[in-house]
Amino acid sequence: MPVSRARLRVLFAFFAIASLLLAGKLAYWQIAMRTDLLGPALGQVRSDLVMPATRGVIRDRNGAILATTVGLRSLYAIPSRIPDKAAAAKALGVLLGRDPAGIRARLESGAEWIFIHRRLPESAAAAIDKLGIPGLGFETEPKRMYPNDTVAAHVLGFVNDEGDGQYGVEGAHDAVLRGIPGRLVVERDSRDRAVPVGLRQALPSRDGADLTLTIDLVVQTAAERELRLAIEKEKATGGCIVVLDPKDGAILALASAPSFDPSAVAVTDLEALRDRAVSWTYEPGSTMKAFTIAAALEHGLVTPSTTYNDVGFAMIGGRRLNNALGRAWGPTTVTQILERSANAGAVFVGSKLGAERLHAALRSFGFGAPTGADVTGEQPGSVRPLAEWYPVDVGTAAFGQGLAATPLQLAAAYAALANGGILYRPYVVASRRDADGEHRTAPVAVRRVVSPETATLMRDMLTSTIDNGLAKNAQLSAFSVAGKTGTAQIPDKSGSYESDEYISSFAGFAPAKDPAFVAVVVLERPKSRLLGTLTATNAFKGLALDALRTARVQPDRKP
Amino acid sequence: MTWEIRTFGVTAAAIAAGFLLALLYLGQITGVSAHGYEMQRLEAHRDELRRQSALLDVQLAKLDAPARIEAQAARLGLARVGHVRVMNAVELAARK
Repeated sequence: MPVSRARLRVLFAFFAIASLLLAGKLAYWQIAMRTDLLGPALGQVRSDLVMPATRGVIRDRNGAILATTVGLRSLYAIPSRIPDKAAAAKALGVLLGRDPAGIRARLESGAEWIFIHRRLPESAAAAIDKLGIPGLGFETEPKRMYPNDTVAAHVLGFVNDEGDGQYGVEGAHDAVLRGIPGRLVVERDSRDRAVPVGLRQALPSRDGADLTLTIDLVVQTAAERELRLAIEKEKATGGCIVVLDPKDGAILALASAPSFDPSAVAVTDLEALRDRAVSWTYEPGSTMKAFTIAAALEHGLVTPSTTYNDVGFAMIGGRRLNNALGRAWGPTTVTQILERSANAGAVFVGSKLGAERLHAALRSFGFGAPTGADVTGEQPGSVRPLAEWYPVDVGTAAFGQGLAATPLQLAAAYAALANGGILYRPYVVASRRDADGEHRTAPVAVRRVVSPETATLMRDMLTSTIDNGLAKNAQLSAFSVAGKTGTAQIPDKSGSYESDEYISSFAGFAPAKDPAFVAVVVLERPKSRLLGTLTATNAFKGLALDALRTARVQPDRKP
Repeated sequence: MTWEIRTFGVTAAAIAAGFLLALLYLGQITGVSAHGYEMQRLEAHRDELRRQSALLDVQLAKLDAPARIEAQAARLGLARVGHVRVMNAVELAARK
């Protein structure tokens, strides 16, 4: 049957109009409404992620890991996909060591997505993974880990929940450790995988630099052990040990008590966060006599054999300054002033020096100013301006009273005597490794404080102090030791001193002729009062054995 | 060969060529996608191995910790050596 041309035209017109309408509608959505549709469409498939930078690793001088960041698996749940919540809660409770009722309550809280447990131990994560419970999944989250637990806590500091380094090296070097986060923009498919041929814009993250410290983990562990034993024995309220390499000022160990666990700072007493080695000042007492005598030797005012008659006290500025226990030693050489720790002798030498030279010597040895070490919270200590000194201050400063120092300052000053007379700036970061390579820290010689000849004399005199003096229990069987004890009173708020409360300390180095290390041990309020120095010297001795053995130092004496 | 047959042949060949080209393109795109997904899987595997390696490093550091070794030694009843004899290499060489 022939088709009517009119019908064909109507059909054609219909399709033409329909096509035009469809094309118009298409053009409307694709062109006019493009912007309105593109945003939501891309929003459904595009993910814009911050790619976190991995925080740098901190190692000791021998490469042992002190702090590192590891991804740990966190367990999450999509409760609507869990078929049997009670059974799941029971199984998880056993593996997580938690109350199943609490887990079940969370699963039945109506939330669409919840964390069950953050940063699981790997064994627990693996066991849960094996259960194969639908609706459970893992997300990897970074965790700062300290494999040595509380060891070197004050040196390291910690990282808070926001990922910011606080205290110690973590705080002081946070900017280089944290790195720079990157960004990744990709289209994702229905299974949340990045579409390989889709949109991809990536700005790679830059990981944080790795730091190698001057700390020696073996010496640090020994220092903390000896400090813990000394504090337990003395029931002291606190204390610290500083160990330096006298050749360049590198900090080998830095222990402070009370201490804290960098992985559990939330439950830590704030006082425990204070690093007593750098942020605590005290009157150092007799350990300062070495610097008074060194200054007098340097100026040629005395020799080791210069003698005075010790009557048990010295008068200066109209005040009477007594020896410990008021003991009169009779004829006493300058070397014996150290051996006997005679306050009257220190006043004798201080008087020869005079206020100006004694003040200058104390400042030159670094007292009254921060050492500049790359640690946080360092205090400057206190040496009053010369204009504020009374005549009696020459006497008291000569044996370490009326001024305040940090244990680190004292260690740095003793290191200057040990190394031949150069004061080095203590430092704890030996090198930094980043994408550009390794950057080593150059030791900083601040100034020469005494001549090599004076330093040699002082080493001999301090060795005699250990061999023949009151600090004999610091002797080591196969090594020479140089050092000095110190007992200081504690100033109270009235400007006087607390009765019968002391700070006991010992500063020394070994072997005396060619020192491998300098150590300062300080105990706060030991219960044995004046005998606290014995415990401090014992702590030095225990530490010295480990430090010398680790450094493989040859004995310089016959055992 | 009539004009209609030639036209049909050319058109059919063009359609077939277009179809083959489209098939080739789709094959390539599918291949790229498959390789992309495989790459992502391998990257994830690499990251997991790195994570496991880091965890093992931490475990090693924990086991190597001097404090742990000291505690273990104490638990086993071992005592610290009071004095360690050191052999002087120079003196030994001189004796030989």
